[in-house]
Amino acid sequence: MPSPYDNCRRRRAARSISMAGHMAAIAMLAVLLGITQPKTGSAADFDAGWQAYQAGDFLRAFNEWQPLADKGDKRAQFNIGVMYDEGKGLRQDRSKAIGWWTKAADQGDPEAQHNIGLAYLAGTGVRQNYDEAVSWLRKAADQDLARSQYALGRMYDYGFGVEKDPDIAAKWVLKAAEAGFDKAQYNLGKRYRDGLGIPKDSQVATQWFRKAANQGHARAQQHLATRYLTGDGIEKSPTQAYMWFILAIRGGNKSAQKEKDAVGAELTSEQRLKAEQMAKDWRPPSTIGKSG
Amino acid sequence: MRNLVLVMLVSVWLFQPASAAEKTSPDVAREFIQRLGNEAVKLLADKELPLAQREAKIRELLRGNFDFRTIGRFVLGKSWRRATSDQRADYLTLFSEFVLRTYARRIGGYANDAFKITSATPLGRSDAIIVTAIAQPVGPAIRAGWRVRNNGGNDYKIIDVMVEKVSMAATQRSEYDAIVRQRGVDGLIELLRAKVGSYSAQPS
Repeated sequence: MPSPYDNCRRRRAARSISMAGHMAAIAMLAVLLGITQPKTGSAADFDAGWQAYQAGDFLRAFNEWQPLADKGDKRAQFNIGVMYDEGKGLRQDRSKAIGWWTKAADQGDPEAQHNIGLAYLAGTGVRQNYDEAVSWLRKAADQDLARSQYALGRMYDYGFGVEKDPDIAAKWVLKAAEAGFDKAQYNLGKRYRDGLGIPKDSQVATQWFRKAANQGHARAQQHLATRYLTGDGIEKSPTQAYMWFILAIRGGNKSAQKEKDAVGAELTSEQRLKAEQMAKDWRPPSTIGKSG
Repeated sequence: MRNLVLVMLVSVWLFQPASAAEKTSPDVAREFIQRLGNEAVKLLADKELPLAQREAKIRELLRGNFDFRTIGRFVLGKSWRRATSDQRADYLTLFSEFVLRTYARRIGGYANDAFKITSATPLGRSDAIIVTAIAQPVGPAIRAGWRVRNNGGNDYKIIDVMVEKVSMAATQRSEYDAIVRQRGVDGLIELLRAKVGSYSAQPS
């Protein structure tokens, strides 16, 4: 989707934003913490690129990473691919992104393999091809990359590039869920609820919904709330239900509003206040699977 | 060019509220966009935060101010009615994630430039369009139109973004229509999942 901000990217990247002061502060902090090491060669360049990238100085990041990428550094190759893919500091060019990712992927970089798999799935920068998508996702999934395991599982659900097979789908989704990927945990909750490629088990379903909910997955929060109302695989608690509905709405799940209001009407004002306070204090204890 | 005009017309005529929405006051809509812009500028000014966190904060700010149900339904067009409730839920989640991710990634890397509202006018039966200009160090300012709707009780939400007078929602609608024809609603859902599932830059 084009954005109103498309054109200003390159100019913005060309400006260095009080980087010197920022870097000096970081260096001083590192000295204080005793974590400085003499930086030579590629490590120094890569880190300088990373600092620049974080500060939004994309042009400088590119200049640090490009020579490394040319020399075969797979992390630099991957990141330059991302810059082309997202159009950060460069004109967006998805086929160049694929080119850089392929160099990294051929050296076994799992994130690059994953991104190429998704590019084939969506047809961005390459001609859409489910078989290629599956083949790249499988390489990354075999290296235990949770997002790839989940994506591969869904390919088996839909029968895209592979024969439809809910059992194999469940196997991959389970691996990703166990690794802590919130979307896989939510999906696994539904599988246990419906018996999709896995034996039905309401209690286990609730446990997986809870794991995803704890990471801030809004739809899992809504499912968990509903389960607190019905007592499905869990002890009934309208106060807990009310709290999880509040969190689900806060996370963007507007369809939980009616349910929240209905439960709220059944609670005493004391219970409501307690649930509202719990929701206010709630923080996701873990952010695994939410990055990037 | 003819296509662009068509896309605009489609947007204006089809993007009508499902129920009789309250009239959107251009003045209130202007304040709404101004407030949102000020908050974004404030978030972007905090250069101590890592880029991924700045992007996450922008995403949360936008999440509460876009009406994704309205946009998502419009964009899916007639396939919305045929979709199962599971498909609708998956689609809406992924669609909003996709839009938020796209905007947050584009906005999140910017320096804290001021933006200016250049006009606020009524649009269609019940909406308002607020045009903003974002100054660049070199070259002309970037203009964008934010279509705002009052959902009742002064609940103002963005329901479309116009760039170069082209509606994003209408553009996506025709893009998605082609995908659904070829690969079904599941194919569109998988495509959105692919678009939101990639890895961004990694530390060493």
